[in-house]
Amino acid sequence: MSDALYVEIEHRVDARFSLAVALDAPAGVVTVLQGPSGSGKTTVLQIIAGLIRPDSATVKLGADASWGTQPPERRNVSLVFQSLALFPHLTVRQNVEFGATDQLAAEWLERMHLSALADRKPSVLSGGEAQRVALARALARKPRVLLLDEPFSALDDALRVELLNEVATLVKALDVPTILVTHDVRDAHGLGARTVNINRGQAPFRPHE
Amino acid sequence: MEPLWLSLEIASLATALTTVVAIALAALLARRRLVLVDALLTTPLVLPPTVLGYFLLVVLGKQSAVGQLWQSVFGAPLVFSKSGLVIASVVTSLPLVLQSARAAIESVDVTLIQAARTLGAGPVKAFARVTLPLASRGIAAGIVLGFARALGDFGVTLMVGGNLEGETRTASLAIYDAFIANRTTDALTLVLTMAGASVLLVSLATLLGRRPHV
Repeated sequence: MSDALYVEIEHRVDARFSLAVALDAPAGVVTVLQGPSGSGKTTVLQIIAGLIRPDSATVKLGADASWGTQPPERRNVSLVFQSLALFPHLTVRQNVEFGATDQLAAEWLERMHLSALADRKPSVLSGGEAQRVALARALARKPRVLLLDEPFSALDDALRVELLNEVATLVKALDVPTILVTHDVRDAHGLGARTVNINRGQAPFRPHE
Repeated sequence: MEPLWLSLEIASLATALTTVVAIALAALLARRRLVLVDALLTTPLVLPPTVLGYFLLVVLGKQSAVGQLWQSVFGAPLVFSKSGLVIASVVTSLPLVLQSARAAIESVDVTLIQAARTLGAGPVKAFARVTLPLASRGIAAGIVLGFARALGDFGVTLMVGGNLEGETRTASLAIYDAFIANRTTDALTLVLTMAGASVLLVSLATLLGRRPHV
């Protein structure tokens, strides 16, 4: 069993908005961080990834408290952005190879049914294809933590449910702590996952059964 | 034709130096507010050439620390030499390249850089593999403009370089000389060549700046 992620954050975003969030995310399941727009969900992910330096935070992976003090490139955390953030100047293959070995990248291209699209640029992909590339890129580097920031919100319902189920299966197989941010209650229900509610920056710790 | 080749040589050397300095400074200034540094580096764009030339003479002259160090290493003064003109051209063309490069770097989507960081790239690698390629057209446009600026300078060149035949008499200075000496054909040939080159270079810069990257 891989290490669980434990997060406790206090962070003043601006004069009128502060975050106070505590949550844990065990490996192998998707923990859904759910709340309305502007509740600070994305900021929580950015702090976990090391992209924002919080005022005060404990971000531990297992017993390793130093993990949360490393710069983003040393955390081996994969974040799938809401905009997907595929590199527009690189091909699908080069995107997936960016943070992974060529061999693992090839494996994940195959696994996500992307081999035929490997030499295309992201600009010519459909929404669903682009989502798969972002997932393949995130997973090909064997992350220790997987963060998903509403990556499927732009898709139609059928495709979204299909991809969410695929993610749940992958996360179970890969045994990695995963946090999915969403404002859509249906996503949480669809996954049958653990849910943490965040409201106006507040998500006090409630241990799960 | 010699002044033209000299102008080309000086502008090429200066542009190579300017490009390296401008990209490094643009990377620094794009994500940070360093108002005074920014203002100092942009001021040469609006200073009268004589004022800029005067400052450069003070900083690079025989009495200055830079001038003396140069003379002790290379055995010749820096001012009134080709090398002095290259440095002067760097100073005059830097603002143009810097502004274009900075705008291009700032226009790169921050989430792409963040994505690169989470995918294991440190700040330098993320800059080299994501920011720089995506900003390359805008940077190239700035380089072309900077080259055009370096090619055509008159005032600073005259102040810092004098007007020494074969050493610092660039095309712009040669036009003035030919005009004063009533050598109309010489002047007109150089004028048309320089004007044509400028139009071509500015068109190229516009083209580079306009087209999207992908």
